[in-house]
Amino acid sequence: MADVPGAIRAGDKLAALRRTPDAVDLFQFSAAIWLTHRIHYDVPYTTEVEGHPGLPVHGPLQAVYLEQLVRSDLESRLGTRVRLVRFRYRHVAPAYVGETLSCRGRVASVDGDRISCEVWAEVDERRTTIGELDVAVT
Amino acid sequence: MATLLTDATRRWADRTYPVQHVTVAAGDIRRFAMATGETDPIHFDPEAARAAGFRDVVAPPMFYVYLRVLPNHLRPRDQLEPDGSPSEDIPPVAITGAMAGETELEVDGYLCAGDEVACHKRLVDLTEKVGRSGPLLFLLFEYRYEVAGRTVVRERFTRILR
Repeated sequence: MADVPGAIRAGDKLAALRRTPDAVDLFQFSAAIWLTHRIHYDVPYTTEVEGHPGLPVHGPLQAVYLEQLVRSDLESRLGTRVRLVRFRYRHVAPAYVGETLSCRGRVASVDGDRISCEVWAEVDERRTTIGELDVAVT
Repeated sequence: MATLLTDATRRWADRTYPVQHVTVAAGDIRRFAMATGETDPIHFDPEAARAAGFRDVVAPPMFYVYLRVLPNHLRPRDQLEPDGSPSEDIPPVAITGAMAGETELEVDGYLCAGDEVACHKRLVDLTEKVGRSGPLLFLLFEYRYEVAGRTVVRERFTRILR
């Protein structure tokens, strides 16, 4: 386990990652995890019965995007793989199909082979998911 | 004062959950990786995965969500609620709403194709707090995914009832 090279420092911004999941993306994610909950694919049910303005984007899918944000930024800067070791996240507002999620973050601290990042997803500057994520440099 | 921490809640909290076993197939990983936009061949091609030092096709880190959702949702159609989900695992008391709280994940290693995963679930803590709108019940669940006796992923998830 190598120490994190000095090029990565606390305060560094991560290169933002934008995702605009559509109905096909939601279907594929539901199918991949065998999630049968109607609110991610049945528009009339979701809007008329559950009262949502559209299909909500799965919370875990937003967590996937945040993990990808950290991995893609750090791996491209380090030129080596990083491994997820800890991830704490919370959904604070819904995101809906067709909305663009901007996934952002910054390096919070570097310690030995560990890099801690603060991350969040937002739609029009309204945060939908927030978290803290640590990776180890391999 | 009204409470959600009733005898029925306490009896419910004493339950134990059977361990669920899931064998991870390369196709499960490939599907998850494709659905989430991964392009690295280590998720699709065993040769590429081995060349990168993995024992077989390796899952992206958030793949564990599949191991939480599948055993709970893969059940006969008549055991799903009208909204398509299994009945929520909450105590038998009158509540007006449920919210997801924080998720905390600890990962030690990788899940690969061929892994036989033992999925453990338990209720770790049950706490009542008084909110502005009345009592709130915090349920802390722990999910643990174990391969050959070793915990690869541990997830702690809080559900809040009011």
